[in-house]
Amino acid sequence: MKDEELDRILSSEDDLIPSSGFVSSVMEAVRQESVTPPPISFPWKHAMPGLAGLAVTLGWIVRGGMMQPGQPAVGQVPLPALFTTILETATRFDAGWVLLTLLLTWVLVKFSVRLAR
Amino acid sequence: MNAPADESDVTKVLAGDVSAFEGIVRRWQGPLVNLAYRFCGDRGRAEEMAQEAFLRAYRGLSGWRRDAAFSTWLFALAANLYRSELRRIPFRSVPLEEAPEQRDNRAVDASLEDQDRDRILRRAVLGLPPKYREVLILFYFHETDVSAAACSLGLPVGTFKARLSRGREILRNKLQHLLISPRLKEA
Repeated sequence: MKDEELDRILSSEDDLIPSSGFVSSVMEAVRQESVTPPPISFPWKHAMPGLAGLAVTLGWIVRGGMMQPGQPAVGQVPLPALFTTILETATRFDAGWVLLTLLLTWVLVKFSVRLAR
Repeated sequence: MNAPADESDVTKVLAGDVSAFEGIVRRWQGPLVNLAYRFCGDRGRAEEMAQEAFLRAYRGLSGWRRDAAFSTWLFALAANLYRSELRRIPFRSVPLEEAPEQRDNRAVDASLEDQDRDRILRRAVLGLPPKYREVLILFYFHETDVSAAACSLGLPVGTFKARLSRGREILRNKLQHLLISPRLKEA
């Protein structure tokens, strides 16, 4: 079969007539779409500081957990001054962990409430 | 031909007049349903795919930059959607009873043998590997206008022509086997 014959046959494909309700069906879907509020995108901009803080904390915990027993946990992991201070305090007193957990929980709750508004 | 009407309707829709979109649907329902039918070979699915294409066009209407014709943008959007749909759920062969309504009488006047050959050829197109199938479908949909078809697929003209040539070659080889005894092959 030659190209010309292929062209002739495939160009003469029968036209399909859309069903009578097609336009109304599309318009119904479009109207529905227009009244549906757009999905709320995740607020990455606002969430980034929290996620970064969480990642640093998790990283520190994982690294601390991998250290040999007896090795001092604090002082070997380079952390920002604020974190170091908090962690030193927490290490000095066992109760510090509880406080740190409470603090983190409070921050996360406040952050979640702010996102929900 | 439809460009001023399209432009006017798009402007109205973007200004908040949703009903103006109906004009766009009325003007382009035929081409979009037919293009979908060429991709999937199933009337019901073609209408579903065309409806989804219109919905996507509605959602992305502000993305039409007006530097090209509205139809070019719409066909590219539709072709992209149909390609993804077909890759997600490949076409199934359709029984003859579900063949589309015919608008002209050419096929009716043709001999049965010719009709069989034409039908086999169209099915063979749907059975091609996706990248050749898409090129052939768009080429004939755009009445053998290579640049329009390449634009709809977002391909450079050179790549389009190469795929068209290879697609035709595969098709011819397939047909050599299929057309020897089509009735036997179908039995």
